Amino acid sequence: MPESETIPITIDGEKTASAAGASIWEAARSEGVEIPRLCHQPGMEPVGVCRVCVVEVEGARSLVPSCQRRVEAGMVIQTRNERVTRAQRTLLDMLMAEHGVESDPENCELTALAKRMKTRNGAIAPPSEDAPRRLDSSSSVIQVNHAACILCDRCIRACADVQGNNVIGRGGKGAGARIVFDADAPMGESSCVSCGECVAACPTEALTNKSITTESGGSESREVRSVCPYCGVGCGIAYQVAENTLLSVRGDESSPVNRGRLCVKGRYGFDYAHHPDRLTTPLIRREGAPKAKELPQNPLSLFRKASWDEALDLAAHSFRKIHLAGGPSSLAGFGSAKCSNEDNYLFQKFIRAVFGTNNVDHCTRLCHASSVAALSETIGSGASTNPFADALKADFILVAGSNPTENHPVAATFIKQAAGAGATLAVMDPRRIDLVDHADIFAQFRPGTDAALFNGLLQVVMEEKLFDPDFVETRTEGFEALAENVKPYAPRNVSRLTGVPAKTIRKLARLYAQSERSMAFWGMGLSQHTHGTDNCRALIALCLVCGQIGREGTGLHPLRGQNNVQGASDAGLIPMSYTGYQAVSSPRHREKFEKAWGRELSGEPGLTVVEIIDAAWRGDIKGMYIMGENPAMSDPNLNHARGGLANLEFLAVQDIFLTETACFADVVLPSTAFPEKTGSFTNTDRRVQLGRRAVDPPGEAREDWRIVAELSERMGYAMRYESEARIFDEIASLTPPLAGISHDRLGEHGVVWPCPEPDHPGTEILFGESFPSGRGKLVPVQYAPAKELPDDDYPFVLNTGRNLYHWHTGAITRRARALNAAEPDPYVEMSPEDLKRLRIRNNSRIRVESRRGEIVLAARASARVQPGQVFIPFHYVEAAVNLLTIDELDPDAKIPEFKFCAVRIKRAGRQRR
Amino acid sequence: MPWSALTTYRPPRKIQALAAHQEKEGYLSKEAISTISRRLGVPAYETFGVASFFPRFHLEKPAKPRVRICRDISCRLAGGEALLKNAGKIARTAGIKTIRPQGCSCLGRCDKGPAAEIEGRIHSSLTEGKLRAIIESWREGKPKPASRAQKIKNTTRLNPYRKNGAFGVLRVLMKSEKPESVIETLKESGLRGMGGAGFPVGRKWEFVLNAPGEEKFVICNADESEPGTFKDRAVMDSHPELLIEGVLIACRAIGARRAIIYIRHEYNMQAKALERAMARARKARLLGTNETPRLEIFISPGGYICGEETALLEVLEDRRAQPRDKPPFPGSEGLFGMPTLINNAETFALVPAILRKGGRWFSSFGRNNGSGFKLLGVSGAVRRPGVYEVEFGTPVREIIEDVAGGLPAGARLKAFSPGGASSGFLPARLGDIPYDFTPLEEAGSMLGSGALIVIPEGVDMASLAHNAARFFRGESCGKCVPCRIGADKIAAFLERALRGDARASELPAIGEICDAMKETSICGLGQAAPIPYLSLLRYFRSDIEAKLK
Repeated sequence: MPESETIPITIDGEKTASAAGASIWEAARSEGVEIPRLCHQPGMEPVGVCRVCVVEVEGARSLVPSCQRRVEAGMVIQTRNERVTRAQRTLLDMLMAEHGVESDPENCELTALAKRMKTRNGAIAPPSEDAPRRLDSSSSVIQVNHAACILCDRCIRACADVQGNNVIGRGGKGAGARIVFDADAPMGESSCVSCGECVAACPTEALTNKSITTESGGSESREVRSVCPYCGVGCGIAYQVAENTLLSVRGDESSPVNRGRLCVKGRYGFDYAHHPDRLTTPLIRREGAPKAKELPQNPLSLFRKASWDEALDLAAHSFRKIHLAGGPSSLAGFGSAKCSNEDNYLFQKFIRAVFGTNNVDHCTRLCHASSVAALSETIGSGASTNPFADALKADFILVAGSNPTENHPVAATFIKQAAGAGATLAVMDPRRIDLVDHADIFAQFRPGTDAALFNGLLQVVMEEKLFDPDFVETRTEGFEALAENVKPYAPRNVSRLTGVPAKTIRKLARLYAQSERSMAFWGMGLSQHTHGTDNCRALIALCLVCGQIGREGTGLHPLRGQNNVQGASDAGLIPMSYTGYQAVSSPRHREKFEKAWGRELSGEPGLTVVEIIDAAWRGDIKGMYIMGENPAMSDPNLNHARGGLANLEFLAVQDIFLTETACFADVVLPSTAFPEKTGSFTNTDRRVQLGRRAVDPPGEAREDWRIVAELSERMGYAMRYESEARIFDEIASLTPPLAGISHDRLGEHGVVWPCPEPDHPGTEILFGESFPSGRGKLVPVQYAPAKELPDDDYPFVLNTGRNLYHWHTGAITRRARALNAAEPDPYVEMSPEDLKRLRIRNNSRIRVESRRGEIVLAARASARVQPGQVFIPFHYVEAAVNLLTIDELDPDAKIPEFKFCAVRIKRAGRQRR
Repeated sequence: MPWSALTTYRPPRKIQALAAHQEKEGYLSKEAISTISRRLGVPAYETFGVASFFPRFHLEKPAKPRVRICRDISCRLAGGEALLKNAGKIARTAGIKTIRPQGCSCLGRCDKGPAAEIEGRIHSSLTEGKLRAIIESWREGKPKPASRAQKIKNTTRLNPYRKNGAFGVLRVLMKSEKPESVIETLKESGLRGMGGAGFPVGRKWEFVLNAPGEEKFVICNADESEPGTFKDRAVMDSHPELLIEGVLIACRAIGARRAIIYIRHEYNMQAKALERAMARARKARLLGTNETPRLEIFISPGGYICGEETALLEVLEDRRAQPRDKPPFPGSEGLFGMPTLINNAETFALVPAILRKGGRWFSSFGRNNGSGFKLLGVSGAVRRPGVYEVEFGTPVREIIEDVAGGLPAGARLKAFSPGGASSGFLPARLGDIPYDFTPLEEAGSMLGSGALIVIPEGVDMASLAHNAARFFRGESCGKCVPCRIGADKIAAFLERALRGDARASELPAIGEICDAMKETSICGLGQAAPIPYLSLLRYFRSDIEAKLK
């Protein structure tokens, strides 16, 4: 139906035209007539259960639900005559009689509507005896009050249609009908993932958020628009703030990123900012306090409070001393993907201009370094080509080595929605992740065989000539070599290697290649390997030969982990390049930055994260400045990494908590948490958005960039900026893809780079015409096994990653009450078969050992892992899985092999609890 | 390609799996529901939503035998309420202490009340002694067989065939090039749907024939559940082959390749009769060949609401029986969105006779401006309860007196319900009203589903209205607000009135509720649910006013 088609209708005596296919409710609304409603919610499928939106349609015997009935030519509609309002009032009377709680109209649409429609509250009594009256407090974040429920089905649609979680439904019948979770479990024991979408949708107080910090501040509270501090999705949020306390968070419906949706971390994980463990003054290590690779029992006892002047002077003095003795290469710095573009820009500027070294890196090295390396090598740009919401426009979606329902939950809702609406979804993963429930194809391959599997797909594409010959001809190079290279990877051979049936390989290849629009998502499952770059090269080659890039609903999307991992790299927080990936080794770029910064710069690319820690261990690096990173938890082979940190002559750590890394510090500088500062953050779509200060920092804590600038001043290099906006202006002036962006332009919803000019709208979809590298390079790769294969001594493959409720090293989420309550203890996922074979009871404590370390934690039976494999999330200091992981690196990207090492399992003996 | 590969039809897997599990284990635990969900790859809430909706499914382990005693109008008039009240005691004296006999909705044995369902077997004309004997027979492990259902005594009009003449019309039609003539004849006959709404049959068939759709379905609604109604059951007991033939004729006439007979689970004997008739059709190669439609019987998981045509579609699509808003009507968007012809069992059974003898033959019946005849189940206070062929327009009093043998000795007519619980009650003084659509509607009632319930002097109409209101409260699906809350409010008000706890000042508010139910409910259940109460106020006001404070 053409959009422009309109039909004549009459609403309340006014002749008008309505879009054909619109509901009466929509048609009325576009005429400025707001028909009352409770169950209907724009953006959701109408269900017509509350009947409050009824109208009179000439010729109809009874009243008509306006949310459901479509307009017809010549329809004569009355929305507020006596007959209609009488029925509406009676319906509201009935609902008020059933609604067994006193509600504030502020929080209850029903009460507000009843008041507005002047119903005779209480005329109909008493409530039904069958009606459910139960309170369900089992969820750690959501309170369910069945008495207040009016069965509008909004929560059901929010859970199933918006978030794709499929937990809530209707149970029972008639007056006994009620909302249920799963097969009538208490909410807290159901498969609910606590995203809170149901609470946001609920028109009454049947589903409410439990208070996280303190009770609502009432009219005193104000709202601050910002972005979510957790993952790379970058959801738009609004903080509700009373005085200096965050009360709650809601999703920003107008955000083009999340369209109002949030996950459990974004909605309920904000209270870490108010945690009593927050650092409020600078700390200086006590004379003689030992530095050992074992973490101390009481870390605070290692330090004494200090003034800012004393702490900064000590840091400046110590760095200067090391610089004088060992030269620039004896110093290094880690910035953080949790800090803003402005923080990180200044930090890397400080390291380069003041320390005089390119030894500056951050945790991107540990997550997508190999993706960035492969993308840069092949197409010349290390970022996603299309926004993740393009999943909704794709016909085929490939999710490889990514567990988005836990790691990028809001992006996952778009993928699930697309699958629900008919797109074919394929999941490639060694674990049977939850997204598989929504998938059409699941290729469960053996860990570490990713490259073989992609080569297998390429082989099918070549053999069956499924590639796009025009695209190959005009946009790529290296096709012949690639075709030759994948010849041995026939599906039968690949099947033996990967465990994926040959039929599945063929089907996947055909669907990816032949669908009109195919989009590929990937994550750490591909990147965190010693052959991580190869994995990505193979995936990119598949994408290029099939021409699935450069259009809506196609493309390559490495789902970025941290909220600003894209931006931190963009801001130059990597050892090989300045802002915007301008190589330090290029004299042209170096000169530009030398001129801008007024200092001579090193042209030699610096060391990466694991290399720096290695150098510290060897004693080559003697001084470090770490802002917001926690390598004492996040690096592989922690005994080695912590040894490296302990070996440093001087370490300054700038953070909001006394992290595991800070235990090794000589000076600790208290900085601001996300809600306490303003700055720009760049999400996985390349969208630069503004986070806004909502509360003041505690005690003497200062913004990261101000601390960097102060330290710089004390080391003789002035950094004077009026505000974050001015820092961004400097970034823009030096960085062509960001040149058109300023804080003023970011507004509510940000700008997507590349944005070369102030009047440029930004670019959501890249490479429609060509690649920055000219032609896309097809790089042949070979399958190579992981570095440490299981054997008789260490028979299990260890895989590591995250769970839904925690964030990385746990520094903030272990201090977010609701999140930590959901997953308070470390665990190892094992297949029920292995547990049975080893005679280990579910939830009993076991010891997991590798050649590098051992940890004790609870065994958790999980059908998600295959026999012979175990999975451990890395959030828990009391059982830090990185004590076990191996510090072998990918030769190109220097990313460690977090996803594969050999371990053995032992029973831990007597239970400690 | 075989046509079956093209069908949009998908079997209701959750309902089937739940039924199969319950058959084996006796009930559905939450664990079982979760396991079934995982196996089928559907969210657990969906499976639980279905399992907790239908009365056939038990979420807790019931004691055997499960005793359900009908408490609706006809059985109540025959003493069902007292039987239910004493059933626990009876079970104990019969030696099984664990049984908790329950009330249930109409079982379609209104001609021989009170009736009960005991482990899927229907027993009728129960007394306390008989019930005790049945329970004892279960205790002893030799359960008594179900009671035989009463057939229609005289079907000279309904059945056009002599011996061995079954399927005659269909046989001819199979060879005919022009199924359009079927629709012409039906239009000429003036036949209207016999399920309650009375929509002209020929027009409905024509509409579905002309509706665009890759596939079309025919559904026979044999989910007869309106209290007092048992004529469809009697049709299936007496002439199942006529129903089968009518359904197959419809398939041919509208171009459907799949037909489903939706039957309530309590009618298992009737389902067997239909299966035997289908076997005869297969033998005559009118079914079971590549050229003939696929016909199957679907056993309902239970509940009056399933007889509502869109709720029925929801069940066939494996969901809770929550009606859809109309439009779209099933004729254009029905089962799986395809044009779907839904008619009542009796309607289909009438088709062969009309096609055999002509539209004018059918319309020649009728008195007082009525046209045609229908099957009418008469129950309550009459000497000869049963199902009769009755011409439209026949005065009700004549039906009671001449057809059903009049009231028993000493009894006098107080009221009658012309079309089951939904039609409410009319007073004896309206006894001369012609039994036809329009006059009954004008009296605030309706022809309904062909269920004439005769009520003698001495019965408290407030108590009967409460009986009907309680039925609707129990059968409301709960989807829409007016019905879910309204049905409860009316029943609760009458309950309190019977206890002497209600006030006259509440009447206006209840009246508002009735209006809102009629005006805004999604389906006929909610729209009709206030009718018994409203008829009480209109015709038997003294019966209620005397009880109000």
